[in-house]
Amino acid sequence: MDADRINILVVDDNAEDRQNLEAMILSSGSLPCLVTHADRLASCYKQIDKRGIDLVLLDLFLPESKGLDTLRRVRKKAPELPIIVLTRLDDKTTGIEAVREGAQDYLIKGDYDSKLLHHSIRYAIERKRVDIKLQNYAAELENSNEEYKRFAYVVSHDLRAPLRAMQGFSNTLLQRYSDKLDDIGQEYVRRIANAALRMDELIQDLLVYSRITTTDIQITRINLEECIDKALEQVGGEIKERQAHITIQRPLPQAVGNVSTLAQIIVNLVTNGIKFVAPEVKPDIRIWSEIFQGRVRLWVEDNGIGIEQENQERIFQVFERLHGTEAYPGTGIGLAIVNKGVQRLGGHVSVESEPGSGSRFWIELKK
Amino acid sequence: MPRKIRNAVILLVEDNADDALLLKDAFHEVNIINSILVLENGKKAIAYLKGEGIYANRKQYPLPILILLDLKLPILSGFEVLKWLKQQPILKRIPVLIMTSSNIPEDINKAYDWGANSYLLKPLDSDDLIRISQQIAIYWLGFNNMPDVVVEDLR
Repeated sequence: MDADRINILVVDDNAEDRQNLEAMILSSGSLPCLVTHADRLASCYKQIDKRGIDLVLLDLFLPESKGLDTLRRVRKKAPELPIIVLTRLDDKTTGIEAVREGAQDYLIKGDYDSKLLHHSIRYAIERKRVDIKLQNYAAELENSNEEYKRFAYVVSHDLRAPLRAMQGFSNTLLQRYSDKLDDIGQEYVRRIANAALRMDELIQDLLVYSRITTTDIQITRINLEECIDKALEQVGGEIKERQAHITIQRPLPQAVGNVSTLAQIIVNLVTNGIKFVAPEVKPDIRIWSEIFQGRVRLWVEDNGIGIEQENQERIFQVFERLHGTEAYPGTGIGLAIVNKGVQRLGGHVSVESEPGSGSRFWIELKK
Repeated sequence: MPRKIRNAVILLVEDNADDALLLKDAFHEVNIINSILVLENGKKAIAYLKGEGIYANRKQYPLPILILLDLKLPILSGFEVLKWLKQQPILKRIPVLIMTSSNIPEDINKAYDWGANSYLLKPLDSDDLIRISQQIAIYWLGFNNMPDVVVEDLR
């Protein structure tokens, strides 16, 4: 930009139109401009190559090129320049189509005045600036997403390898050299092995969390029955081990979501319900659905220890734990995964609970 | 009765010395008597299988009856070894068991697409490693019938 004057390249093969346009551009006292001309595509390219152009006013009908194709070619030549296209009075659609294809604005020949023209120039320049900014953000986001995926991959592979060694060699010590270690020594080695297992659990949960946060999730109409079945398949072992009782009120309706994400959410809610029960209590979980204000609500109720009112929001945050690891071992990520997963599906999650009388979690999805 | 191949070599392509030692220990634990040769990158694995350079002497470096292959390896990855191997006329018969820490579906599918014979995850718990080793002893070194892979006459 020449100091504070906007350098406008007028591309039009009609000399009279060009001169009228130039006069109108230069008529404004408040918007100091400079005009450069081109009467065909070739000379337009030449002017762009000289640099210093701030905006192109482009007639789409030139000797070498007609219609939107003209726009495409100029955009390809100068992707960073704002473009206002000039369309014919009898052409109702090309202007909008041009904007869709990346022009910043359009003016209908013979149907604008100096005020509208100057307004359009200012608008096109600003709009292009925002477009470029958005494009950069998008590229950055794409980049950081890729980096994040690579990071998760490294975490799952490289970070776990030393844990295998810790756990493996601790076990070897216990099995093969236990006669050389007294009880306290053996207890310490066992603690090393357990710490490795816990760390692995933490990494696994973080990976699930990062996957649910970053991967593309296809959202379609799905059958909640299918999600429940998939989830129960995954927690079957745990249900049996803890002698948990699960009741599902079928049939369950359809909802908008994603089968694997929802299965993961249900797994975590059920696991949560199985885990947080008072000692000696057999877990009892009930799952049912209802239509609430036009949306599908899936309820997961447990007979666990319950959650105090003031903690009911906290439990959905990463690493929030309400109990010591001795009483209830875990990573504090389970419900954060639920929260993030539901968010990604465009739904809501909440809990109703009182200490001592179980919790009722619900997730709400579009019908 | 399955054919027992007693003293043939098992090739372990693994860059992590801890993992290699743990697996050797586990194999020992379940009485696998085959000698286990550890190579720490894909380039060496291919050189070995080709019988190139120091591996030219097949008496000292016989072709393996089974390959345990990690995927993430320096220089040449396990995938590249797999792809190369499964394109070789006779060597491609050698069963390859992938032994990796990656459980992402793309890796699993790609491994099978490229001709892996089995895909195992490195377990965290060493008791699980013992169980896996037991199964390898019973199935791959027991019931499974091995192909002929001798490409040159050694007698």
